[in-house]
Amino acid sequence: MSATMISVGGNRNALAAGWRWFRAFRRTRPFWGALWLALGGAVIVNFARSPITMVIGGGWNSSAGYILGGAMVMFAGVALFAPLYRSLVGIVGVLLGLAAFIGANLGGFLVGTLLAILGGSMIWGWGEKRPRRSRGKRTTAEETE
Amino acid sequence: MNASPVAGVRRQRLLVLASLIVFALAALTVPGLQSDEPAQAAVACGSNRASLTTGQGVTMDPCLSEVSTRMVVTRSAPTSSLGCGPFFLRACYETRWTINGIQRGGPFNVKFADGSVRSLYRLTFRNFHASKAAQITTMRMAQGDGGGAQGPIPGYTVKMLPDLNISLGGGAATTYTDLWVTASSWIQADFSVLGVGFDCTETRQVDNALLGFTAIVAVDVNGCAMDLDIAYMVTTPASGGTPNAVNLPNTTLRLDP
Repeated sequence: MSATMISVGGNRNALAAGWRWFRAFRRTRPFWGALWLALGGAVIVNFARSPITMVIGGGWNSSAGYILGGAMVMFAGVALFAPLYRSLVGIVGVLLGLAAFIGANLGGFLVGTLLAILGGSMIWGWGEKRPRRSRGKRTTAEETE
Repeated sequence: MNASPVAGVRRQRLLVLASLIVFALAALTVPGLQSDEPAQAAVACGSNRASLTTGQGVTMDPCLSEVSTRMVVTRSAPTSSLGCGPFFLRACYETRWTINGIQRGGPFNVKFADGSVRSLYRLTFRNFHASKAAQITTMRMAQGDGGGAQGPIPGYTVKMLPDLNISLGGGAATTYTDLWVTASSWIQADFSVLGVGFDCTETRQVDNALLGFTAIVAVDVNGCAMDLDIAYMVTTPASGGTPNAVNLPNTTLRLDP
Protein backbone atom coordinates (compact mmCIF):
# COMPACT_ATOMS: atom_id res chain seq x y z
CA MET A 1 0.00 0.00 0.00
CA SER A 2 2.69 2.42 1.03
CA ALA A 3 4.85 1.28 -1.86
CA THR A 4 2.03 2.21 -4.26
CA MET A 5 1.71 5.62 -2.67
CA ILE A 6 5.43 6.19 -3.02
CA SER A 7 5.26 5.11 -6.64
CA VAL A 8 2.37 7.50 -7.38
CA GLY A 9 4.18 10.27 -5.59
CA GLY A 10 7.38 9.49 -7.54
CA ASN A 11 5.52 9.59 -10.82
CA ARG A 12 3.98 12.92 -9.92
CA ASN A 13 7.38 14.31 -9.04
CA ALA A 14 8.82 13.04 -12.30
CA LEU A 15 5.93 14.53 -14.24
CA ALA A 16 6.29 17.83 -12.45
CA ALA A 17 10.03 17.84 -13.08
CA GLY A 18 9.45 17.00 -16.74
CA TRP A 19 6.88 19.74 -17.06
CA ARG A 20 9.25 22.25 -15.41
CA TRP A 21 11.99 21.23 -17.81
CA PHE A 22 9.69 21.55 -20.79
CA ARG A 23 8.46 24.97 -19.61
CA ALA A 24 12.01 26.18 -19.23
CA PHE A 25 12.88 24.75 -22.65
CA ARG A 26 9.83 26.39 -24.23
CA ARG A 27 10.46 29.78 -22.64
CA THR A 28 14.11 29.99 -23.68
CA ARG A 29 13.63 29.50 -27.42
CA PRO A 30 11.05 30.27 -30.13
CA PHE A 31 9.17 27.05 -29.47
CA TRP A 32 5.77 27.80 -30.95
CA GLY A 33 7.16 29.44 -34.07
CA ALA A 34 9.43 26.45 -34.66
CA LEU A 35 6.49 24.11 -34.13
CA TRP A 36 4.38 25.87 -36.77
CA LEU A 37 7.32 26.01 -39.17
CA ALA A 38 8.02 22.28 -38.75
CA LEU A 39 4.34 21.50 -39.17
CA GLY A 40 4.27 23.54 -42.38
CA GLY A 41 7.28 21.60 -43.68
CA ALA A 42 5.63 18.29 -42.82
CA VAL A 43 2.47 19.34 -44.66
CA ILE A 44 4.47 20.25 -47.77
CA VAL A 45 6.38 16.96 -47.70
CA ASN A 46 3.13 15.08 -47.19
CA PHE A 47 1.46 16.59 -50.25
CA ALA A 48 4.58 16.09 -52.37
CA ARG A 49 4.98 12.48 -51.30
CA SER A 50 5.91 10.04 -54.06
CA PRO A 51 8.22 7.00 -54.38
CA ILE A 52 11.85 7.92 -53.81
CA THR A 53 12.91 6.60 -57.25
CA MET A 54 10.55 9.09 -58.87
CA VAL A 55 11.84 11.86 -56.62
CA ILE A 56 15.41 11.14 -57.68
CA GLY A 57 14.51 10.63 -61.32
CA GLY A 58 12.01 13.43 -61.75
CA GLY A 59 14.10 16.58 -61.45
CA TRP A 60 13.33 19.67 -59.41
CA ASN A 61 9.57 19.33 -59.83
CA SER A 62 9.57 15.99 -58.05
CA SER A 63 12.12 16.77 -55.37
CA ALA A 64 11.11 20.37 -54.49
CA GLY A 65 8.55 19.26 -51.94
CA TYR A 66 11.07 17.12 -50.12
CA ILE A 67 13.87 19.70 -50.29
CA LEU A 68 11.80 22.74 -49.28
CA GLY A 69 9.61 20.91 -46.75
CA GLY A 70 12.60 19.09 -45.31
CA ALA A 71 14.53 22.35 -45.05
CA MET A 72 11.63 23.93 -43.16
CA VAL A 73 11.67 21.09 -40.63
CA MET A 74 15.47 21.38 -40.38
CA PHE A 75 15.39 25.14 -39.79
CA ALA A 76 12.65 24.68 -37.20
CA GLY A 77 15.15 22.49 -35.36
CA VAL A 78 17.81 25.14 -35.83
CA ALA A 79 15.47 27.74 -34.32
CA LEU A 80 15.06 25.53 -31.26
CA PHE A 81 18.74 24.85 -30.72
CA ALA A 82 20.26 28.07 -32.02
CA PRO A 83 17.86 30.76 -30.78
CA LEU A 84 20.55 33.43 -31.09
CA TYR A 85 20.11 33.23 -34.87
CA ARG A 86 16.33 33.42 -34.75
CA SER A 87 16.16 36.44 -37.06
CA LEU A 88 18.01 34.65 -39.86
CA VAL A 89 16.13 31.40 -39.32
CA GLY A 90 12.76 33.17 -39.24
CA ILE A 91 13.41 34.93 -42.53
CA VAL A 92 14.71 31.72 -44.14
CA GLY A 93 11.59 29.88 -42.93
CA VAL A 94 9.26 32.46 -44.49
CA LEU A 95 11.24 32.44 -47.75
CA LEU A 96 11.13 28.63 -47.88
CA GLY A 97 7.38 28.72 -47.38
CA LEU A 98 6.99 31.23 -50.22
CA ALA A 99 9.28 29.18 -52.46
CA ALA A 100 7.24 26.06 -51.69
CA PHE A 101 4.10 27.90 -52.86
CA ILE A 102 5.66 28.18 -56.30
CA GLY A 103 7.59 24.92 -56.38
CA ALA A 104 5.73 22.30 -54.37
CA ASN A 105 2.00 21.82 -54.90
CA LEU A 106 1.13 25.42 -54.00
CA GLY A 107 3.03 25.01 -50.76
CA GLY A 108 1.04 22.00 -49.61
CA PHE A 109 -2.14 23.54 -50.99
CA LEU A 110 -1.42 26.82 -49.16
CA VAL A 111 -1.55 25.21 -45.71
CA GLY A 112 2.20 24.64 -45.53
CA THR A 113 3.00 28.12 -46.83
CA LEU A 114 0.68 29.81 -44.33
CA LEU A 115 2.13 27.79 -41.46
CA ALA A 116 5.65 28.67 -42.63
CA ILE A 117 4.84 32.39 -42.77
CA LEU A 118 3.23 32.23 -39.34
CA GLY A 119 6.02 30.16 -37.81
CA GLY A 120 8.83 32.11 -39.47
CA SER A 121 7.34 35.41 -38.34
CA MET A 122 6.95 34.13 -34.80
CA ILE A 123 10.56 32.93 -34.80
CA TRP A 124 11.76 36.26 -36.18
CA GLY A 125 9.81 38.25 -33.61
CA TRP A 126 10.56 36.07 -30.61
CA GLY A 127 12.29 37.54 -27.58
CA GLU A 128 13.54 35.71 -24.55
CA LYS A 129 11.17 35.95 -21.62
CA ARG A 130 12.17 36.94 -18.15
CA PRO A 131 12.40 33.99 -15.75
CA ARG A 132 9.06 33.40 -14.08
CA ARG A 133 8.95 34.15 -10.37
CA SER A 134 7.94 31.32 -8.09
CA ARG A 135 4.49 31.56 -6.52
CA GLY A 136 4.35 32.91 -2.96
CA LYS A 137 7.90 34.23 -3.13
CA ARG A 138 7.14 37.66 -4.44
CA THR A 139 10.16 39.82 -3.91
CA THR A 140 9.44 43.36 -3.00
CA ALA A 141 11.66 46.37 -2.88
CA GLU A 142 11.60 46.31 0.86
CA GLU A 143 12.78 42.72 1.02
CA THR A 144 15.65 43.32 -1.31
CA GLU A 145 16.76 46.21 0.70
CA MET B 1 22.83 26.00 -22.70
CA ASN B 2 24.70 25.82 -19.43
CA ALA B 3 28.11 26.15 -21.08
CA SER B 4 29.87 29.45 -21.32
CA PRO B 5 28.11 32.04 -23.49
CA VAL B 6 30.96 32.10 -26.03
CA ALA B 7 30.83 28.33 -26.51
CA GLY B 8 27.06 28.54 -26.88
CA VAL B 9 27.31 31.21 -29.52
CA ARG B 10 30.00 29.28 -31.36
CA ARG B 11 27.95 26.07 -31.29
CA GLN B 12 24.85 27.83 -32.50
CA ARG B 13 26.77 29.55 -35.26
CA LEU B 14 28.12 26.18 -36.41
CA LEU B 15 24.64 24.67 -36.34
CA VAL B 16 23.21 27.47 -38.48
CA LEU B 17 26.14 27.28 -40.89
CA ALA B 18 25.85 23.48 -41.22
CA SER B 19 22.11 23.74 -41.86
CA LEU B 20 22.60 26.35 -44.56
CA ILE B 21 25.27 24.20 -46.22
CA VAL B 22 23.07 21.08 -46.09
CA PHE B 23 20.16 22.97 -47.63
CA ALA B 24 22.32 24.51 -50.34
CA LEU B 25 23.83 21.13 -51.25
CA ALA B 26 20.42 19.45 -51.37
CA ALA B 27 18.90 22.21 -53.46
CA LEU B 28 21.78 22.25 -55.92
CA THR B 29 22.68 18.57 -56.28
CA VAL B 30 19.48 16.53 -56.02
CA PRO B 31 17.64 18.17 -58.95
CA GLY B 32 20.87 18.21 -60.94
CA LEU B 33 21.33 14.43 -60.70
CA GLN B 34 18.82 13.71 -63.39
CA SER B 35 18.49 16.89 -65.39
CA ASP B 36 21.52 15.96 -67.49
CA GLU B 37 19.85 12.98 -69.14
CA PRO B 38 17.03 14.76 -71.00
CA ALA B 39 19.44 17.51 -72.00
CA GLN B 40 21.81 14.97 -73.51
CA ALA B 41 18.93 13.25 -75.29
CA ALA B 42 17.81 16.54 -76.81
CA VAL B 43 21.32 17.34 -77.99
CA ALA B 44 21.85 13.80 -79.33
CA CYS B 45 18.62 13.97 -81.27
CA GLY B 46 19.55 17.14 -83.11
CA SER B 47 21.46 15.35 -85.84
CA ASN B 48 20.04 11.87 -85.42
CA ARG B 49 16.52 12.27 -86.63
CA ALA B 50 14.77 9.50 -88.51
CA SER B 51 13.32 10.13 -91.95
CA LEU B 52 9.98 8.34 -92.22
CA THR B 53 7.50 8.43 -95.08
CA THR B 54 3.92 7.35 -94.49
CA GLY B 55 1.97 5.15 -96.86
CA GLN B 56 0.29 8.34 -98.09
CA GLY B 57 3.62 9.92 -98.99
CA VAL B 58 4.01 12.35 -96.10
CA THR B 59 7.62 12.55 -94.87
CA MET B 60 8.46 13.29 -91.24
CA ASP B 61 11.65 13.59 -89.22
CA PRO B 62 10.79 12.33 -85.73
CA CYS B 63 13.26 11.75 -82.92
CA LEU B 64 13.12 8.08 -81.99
CA SER B 65 14.35 6.80 -78.65
CA GLU B 66 14.91 3.16 -77.82
CA VAL B 67 11.71 3.23 -75.82
CA SER B 68 9.00 1.82 -78.02
CA THR B 69 5.31 1.23 -77.68
CA ARG B 70 4.20 -2.35 -77.63
CA MET B 71 0.66 -3.10 -78.65
CA VAL B 72 -0.48 -6.52 -77.57
CA VAL B 73 -3.82 -8.12 -78.36
CA THR B 74 -4.08 -11.63 -76.99
CA ARG B 75 -6.06 -14.33 -78.77
CA SER B 76 -9.28 -15.43 -77.15
CA ALA B 77 -10.13 -18.99 -76.28
CA PRO B 78 -11.78 -20.93 -79.15
CA THR B 79 -15.30 -19.59 -79.43
CA SER B 80 -16.90 -22.66 -80.95
CA SER B 81 -16.32 -26.35 -80.56
CA LEU B 82 -17.78 -26.89 -84.01
CA GLY B 83 -14.98 -25.13 -85.85
CA CYS B 84 -14.76 -22.53 -88.61
CA GLY B 85 -13.72 -22.26 -92.22
CA PRO B 86 -14.08 -24.82 -94.98
CA PHE B 87 -15.44 -28.07 -93.60
CA PHE B 88 -15.23 -26.53 -90.11
CA LEU B 89 -11.64 -27.72 -89.94
CA ARG B 90 -10.04 -24.90 -87.98
CA ALA B 91 -10.69 -23.30 -84.65
CA CYS B 92 -12.77 -20.15 -84.27
CA TYR B 93 -11.49 -17.16 -82.36
CA GLU B 94 -13.01 -13.87 -81.34
CA THR B 95 -12.29 -10.94 -83.68
CA ARG B 96 -10.32 -8.48 -81.60
CA TRP B 97 -9.06 -6.05 -84.21
CA THR B 98 -10.19 -5.11 -87.70
CA ILE B 99 -8.86 -3.14 -90.64
CA ASN B 100 -10.16 -2.41 -94.13
CA GLY B 101 -6.79 -2.57 -95.83
CA ILE B 102 -3.17 -3.39 -95.16
CA GLN B 103 0.16 -2.61 -96.75
CA ARG B 104 3.63 -3.55 -95.67
CA GLY B 105 6.64 -1.49 -96.63
CA GLY B 106 10.32 -1.93 -95.94
CA PRO B 107 12.54 -2.91 -94.37
CA PHE B 108 13.83 0.63 -93.90
CA ASN B 109 17.02 1.65 -92.16
CA VAL B 110 15.89 4.09 -89.53
CA LYS B 111 18.20 6.27 -87.47
CA PHE B 112 17.59 6.50 -83.74
CA ALA B 113 18.42 9.29 -81.30
CA ASP B 114 21.51 7.51 -80.01
CA GLY B 115 22.91 7.35 -83.56
CA SER B 116 22.19 3.65 -84.08
CA VAL B 117 20.44 2.47 -87.24
CA ARG B 118 17.79 -0.21 -87.01
CA SER B 119 15.75 -2.05 -89.54
CA LEU B 120 12.03 -1.37 -89.29
CA TYR B 121 8.99 -2.31 -91.37
CA ARG B 122 6.11 0.02 -92.01
CA LEU B 123 2.61 -1.34 -91.64
CA THR B 124 -0.16 0.81 -93.02
CA PHE B 125 -3.61 -0.06 -91.76
CA ARG B 126 -6.81 1.47 -93.05
CA ASN B 127 -9.44 2.20 -90.41
CA PHE B 128 -7.73 0.37 -87.63
CA HIS B 129 -10.06 -0.65 -84.84
CA ALA B 130 -9.12 -2.81 -81.88
CA SER B 131 -11.18 -4.21 -79.07
CA LYS B 132 -10.64 -3.18 -75.49
CA ALA B 133 -8.55 -6.34 -75.07
CA ALA B 134 -5.70 -4.36 -76.67
CA GLN B 135 -3.02 -3.33 -74.23
CA ILE B 136 -0.47 -0.69 -75.08
CA THR B 137 2.69 -0.74 -73.01
CA THR B 138 5.94 1.19 -73.12
CA MET B 139 8.85 -1.16 -73.74
CA ARG B 140 12.55 -0.98 -74.46
CA MET B 141 13.56 -2.09 -77.94
CA ALA B 142 16.23 -4.72 -78.41
CA GLN B 143 19.64 -3.62 -79.61
CA GLY B 144 20.74 -4.41 -83.14
CA ASP B 145 19.03 -4.42 -86.49
CA GLY B 146 16.84 -7.39 -85.77
CA GLY B 147 14.73 -5.44 -83.30
CA GLY B 148 12.18 -7.27 -81.22
CA ALA B 149 10.66 -6.53 -77.91
CA GLN B 150 13.09 -6.75 -75.05
CA GLY B 151 10.58 -6.59 -72.25
CA PRO B 152 9.23 -3.93 -69.95
CA ILE B 153 11.57 -1.13 -69.00
CA PRO B 154 12.96 -1.71 -65.53
CA GLY B 155 11.42 0.72 -63.13
CA TYR B 156 8.03 1.88 -64.32
CA THR B 157 5.88 0.84 -67.24
CA VAL B 158 3.04 2.91 -68.58
CA LYS B 159 0.13 0.71 -69.54
CA MET B 160 -2.81 2.01 -71.51
CA LEU B 161 -5.92 -0.08 -70.97
CA PRO B 162 -8.78 1.09 -73.18
CA ASP B 163 -12.17 1.15 -71.50
CA LEU B 164 -13.80 0.90 -74.92
CA ASN B 165 -12.80 -0.37 -78.32
CA ILE B 166 -9.95 1.57 -79.92
CA SER B 167 -10.49 3.46 -83.15
CA LEU B 168 -7.12 4.85 -84.19
CA GLY B 169 -7.47 8.17 -85.93
CA GLY B 170 -11.02 8.38 -84.64
CA GLY B 171 -14.19 9.41 -86.45
CA ALA B 172 -16.06 7.75 -89.24
CA ALA B 173 -13.87 9.10 -92.05
CA THR B 174 -11.27 6.84 -93.60
CA THR B 175 -8.02 7.03 -91.68
CA TYR B 176 -4.67 5.44 -92.35
CA THR B 177 -2.50 4.34 -89.45
CA ASP B 178 1.20 3.96 -90.15
CA LEU B 179 3.20 1.92 -87.70
CA TRP B 180 6.96 1.45 -87.89
CA VAL B 181 7.55 -1.89 -86.24
CA THR B 182 10.41 -4.31 -85.66
CA ALA B 183 10.76 -7.46 -87.76
CA SER B 184 9.79 -9.67 -84.86
CA SER B 185 6.34 -8.11 -84.54
CA TRP B 186 3.54 -10.47 -85.54
CA ILE B 187 -0.16 -10.70 -86.28
CA GLN B 188 -2.78 -13.40 -86.34
CA ALA B 189 -5.64 -12.58 -88.69
CA ASP B 190 -8.19 -14.02 -91.09
CA PHE B 191 -7.84 -12.50 -94.53
CA SER B 192 -7.14 -13.33 -98.11
CA VAL B 193 -5.95 -10.90 -100.74
CA LEU B 194 -4.58 -11.61 -104.20
CA GLY B 195 -4.45 -15.27 -103.43
CA VAL B 196 -2.48 -14.80 -100.23
CA GLY B 197 -4.43 -16.07 -97.27
CA PHE B 198 -3.89 -16.23 -93.54
CA ASP B 199 -6.06 -17.35 -90.71
CA CYS B 200 -6.05 -16.88 -86.98
CA THR B 201 -4.37 -20.18 -86.27
CA GLU B 202 -1.16 -18.93 -87.91
CA THR B 203 1.28 -16.42 -86.56
CA ARG B 204 2.73 -14.22 -89.28
CA GLN B 205 5.76 -12.15 -88.49
CA VAL B 206 5.95 -8.77 -90.14
CA ASP B 207 9.05 -9.81 -92.10
CA ASN B 208 7.15 -12.75 -93.60
CA ALA B 209 7.51 -12.69 -97.39
CA LEU B 210 3.80 -13.22 -97.93
CA LEU B 211 3.00 -9.93 -96.22
CA GLY B 212 5.13 -8.19 -98.86
CA PHE B 213 2.41 -8.83 -101.42
CA THR B 214 -0.15 -6.86 -99.48
CA ALA B 215 -1.25 -3.49 -100.71
CA ILE B 216 -3.87 -1.04 -99.63
CA VAL B 217 -6.94 -2.54 -101.20
CA ALA B 218 -10.46 -2.77 -99.90
CA VAL B 219 -10.17 -5.97 -97.98
CA ASP B 220 -11.59 -6.71 -94.59
CA VAL B 221 -9.09 -8.19 -92.20
CA ASN B 222 -10.41 -9.70 -89.00
CA GLY B 223 -7.61 -10.08 -86.52
CA CYS B 224 -7.47 -12.31 -83.50
CA ALA B 225 -4.16 -11.32 -81.94
CA MET B 226 -1.13 -9.13 -82.47
CA ASP B 227 2.12 -8.21 -80.82
CA LEU B 228 3.59 -5.11 -82.40
CA ASP B 229 6.80 -3.49 -81.19
CA ILE B 230 6.16 0.01 -82.46
CA ALA B 231 8.91 2.58 -82.80
CA TYR B 232 6.65 5.27 -84.23
CA MET B 233 2.99 5.58 -85.08
CA VAL B 234 0.90 8.25 -86.83
CA THR B 235 -2.56 8.48 -88.29
CA THR B 236 -3.36 10.33 -91.51
CA PRO B 237 -6.84 11.18 -92.79
CA ALA B 238 -7.62 9.89 -96.29
CA SER B 239 -8.36 13.46 -97.32
CA GLY B 240 -4.67 14.21 -96.90
CA GLY B 241 -3.00 16.73 -94.68
CA THR B 242 -0.70 16.48 -91.74
CA PRO B 243 -0.48 13.18 -89.85
CA ASN B 244 -2.35 13.32 -86.58
CA ALA B 245 -1.43 12.19 -83.16
CA VAL B 246 -3.03 8.91 -82.21
CA ASN B 247 -6.38 9.36 -80.49
CA LEU B 248 -7.52 6.82 -77.99
CA PRO B 249 -10.99 6.57 -76.48
CA ASN B 250 -11.59 6.55 -72.74
CA THR B 251 -8.41 4.89 -71.65
CA THR B 252 -7.08 3.93 -68.27
CA LEU B 253 -3.47 4.88 -67.77
CA ARG B 254 -1.71 2.68 -65.24
CA LEU B 255 1.78 3.02 -63.91
CA ASP B 256 3.13 -0.42 -63.03
CA PRO B 257 6.26 -0.72 -60.90
